[in-house]
Amino acid sequence: MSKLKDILSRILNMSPDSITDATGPENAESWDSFNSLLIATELEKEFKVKFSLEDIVSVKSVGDIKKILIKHEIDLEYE
Amino acid sequence: MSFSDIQRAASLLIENPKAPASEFLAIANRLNSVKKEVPHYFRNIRCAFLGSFTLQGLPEVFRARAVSHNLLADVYLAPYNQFSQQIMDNSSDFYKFAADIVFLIIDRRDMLDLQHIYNLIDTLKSASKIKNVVLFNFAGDVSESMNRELEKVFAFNRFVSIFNFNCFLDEVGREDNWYTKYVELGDLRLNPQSFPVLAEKMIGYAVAVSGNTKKCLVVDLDNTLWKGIVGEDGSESLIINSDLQKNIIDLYNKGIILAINSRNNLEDAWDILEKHPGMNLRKRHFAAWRINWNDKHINMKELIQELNISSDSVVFIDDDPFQRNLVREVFPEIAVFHPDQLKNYSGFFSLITTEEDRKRGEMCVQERQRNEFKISFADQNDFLKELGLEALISRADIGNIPRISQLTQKTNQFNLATHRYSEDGIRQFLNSDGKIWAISVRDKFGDYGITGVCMIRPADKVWYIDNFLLSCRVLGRGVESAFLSFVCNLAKAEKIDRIVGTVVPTAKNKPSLSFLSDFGFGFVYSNDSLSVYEEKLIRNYSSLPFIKIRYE
Repeated sequence: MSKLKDILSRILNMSPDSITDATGPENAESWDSFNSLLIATELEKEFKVKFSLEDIVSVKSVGDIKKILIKHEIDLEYE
Repeated sequence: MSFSDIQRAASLLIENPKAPASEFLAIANRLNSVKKEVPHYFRNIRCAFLGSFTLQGLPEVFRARAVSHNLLADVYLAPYNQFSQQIMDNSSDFYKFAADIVFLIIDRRDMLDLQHIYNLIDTLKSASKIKNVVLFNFAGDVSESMNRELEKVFAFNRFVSIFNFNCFLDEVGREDNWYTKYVELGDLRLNPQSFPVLAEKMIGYAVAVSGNTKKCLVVDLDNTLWKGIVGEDGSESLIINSDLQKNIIDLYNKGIILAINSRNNLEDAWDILEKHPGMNLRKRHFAAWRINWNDKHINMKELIQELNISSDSVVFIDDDPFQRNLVREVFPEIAVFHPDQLKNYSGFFSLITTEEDRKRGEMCVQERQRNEFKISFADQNDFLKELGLEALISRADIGNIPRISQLTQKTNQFNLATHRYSEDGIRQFLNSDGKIWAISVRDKFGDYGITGVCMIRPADKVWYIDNFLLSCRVLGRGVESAFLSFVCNLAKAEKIDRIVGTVVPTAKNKPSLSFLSDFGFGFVYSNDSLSVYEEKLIRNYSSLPFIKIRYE
């Protein structure tokens, strides 16, 4: 999941090690509404997928992001 | 992370057109902590972004792009959809920000009519610090007639530039980037992933306004100007890279100096450049070259010295990442990237091309001929006598104001006070009784065009030198002394008692620091940032024997 961690680390200005499945808008200070959208557009571009509005709105943590990526058939072990 | 790490990261991003927006944001974040380490050759520019929809993130991506253009950009983003309010209220945060350049990004759906925009622009015009307003045109086929009207209305307007946003959307793909599903979430009409490409296109205006336009393009040969290696594949099997070469010729016609830095046998290279039928570029387009087996950073150093330009005005393209890294490490101020990126690179952007720009390519070749001529004389005086120097001094007028302004922006080495002026600034200087003369020089090899400027603020019985500068191309031939003698004689004729000049040392103007005292001016005082000299106008100021001066 290093590609995902790199993206989140750059956008949220956090070190990759401090990002866990529980990290989300409730506990990460820099995870505001704009950065949520930035994360979504960047994941769409990097993993070449298209999220639905429901996908995006339902994300409350990194764990939720992983579930959605798996749903779109992204192999997180490889990426 | 040091400033050079940031520079390296920003430079590598030029190479990667698919880099995501977050990489640029990461660079912008780090910029804030290294403000004190900014190298001296960086220029500052203040950019305001006024939009009718969400543009969050764009100013930061722009700041990151600016680093690879040797620019330190301070940015202001107007609050969501407040572009009208910020412009109409003269105590607004926008006016407090004091922008040099304003980007006006308005969606057709958010404005009443074009008159609304014209009124906003008229209001901006009276805010004197703004040097350019970049107005985005409108998206979609329905906007075609409005966009044509914008082009017509602002065709000859020096204050307003029209940015073809519609064309940009075609380039990055409208479906994925404009009015996507993200409009429903936070009115994000433009996909932030398009910001890196957009920011590079926008940065051209900042480069131009700050006077930081690059002057020289250095190119590799094998697998750059052509596909193949001439020493190994032979000239018939080379595939000429015509698109790139035509692009480079456009730059040559705009006045960019061209040079070659290649690992090759000289004869092989000239064989292609002079004889290959498919080539667009020829030997005559190049002002200098290092074609040998040395390392390219050594060649680069020699080229910069030979061309007598400063290293931060150079761009280097080479297909080999090893050579790119070598040059990048030694010269972080040089823009280095793969030849494929030249068409996307905005560092050569300028708002106007002057006649001198157009002739520059030719002039560099003439310079090469002059140097060859000079070496043939043992005595410097004999050389000057045979050179046939002529100078024409004229007052500033409508025709030469653009060139005068350009010289104040670009001249660094022989520049006493380095006061930079936009064209409007020059007009204001003249309107407040300032005097400006331009000197144009030629010799038996060719015409240098207007290469020097003297700006005087007259007072009672005293003239103050506001600017005295000369292009480095004409230094060392007595032109600067002749020009100052001329000004002294004019002052004497108008019964002025003395001329006062201020010298402000910068990182680049060492060649000019002793000029006034060498000329005979007396030292008055100095402090940490400047020195003041004065000349009482009593002696006779005769010109040097080798220069014929005309005044019109």
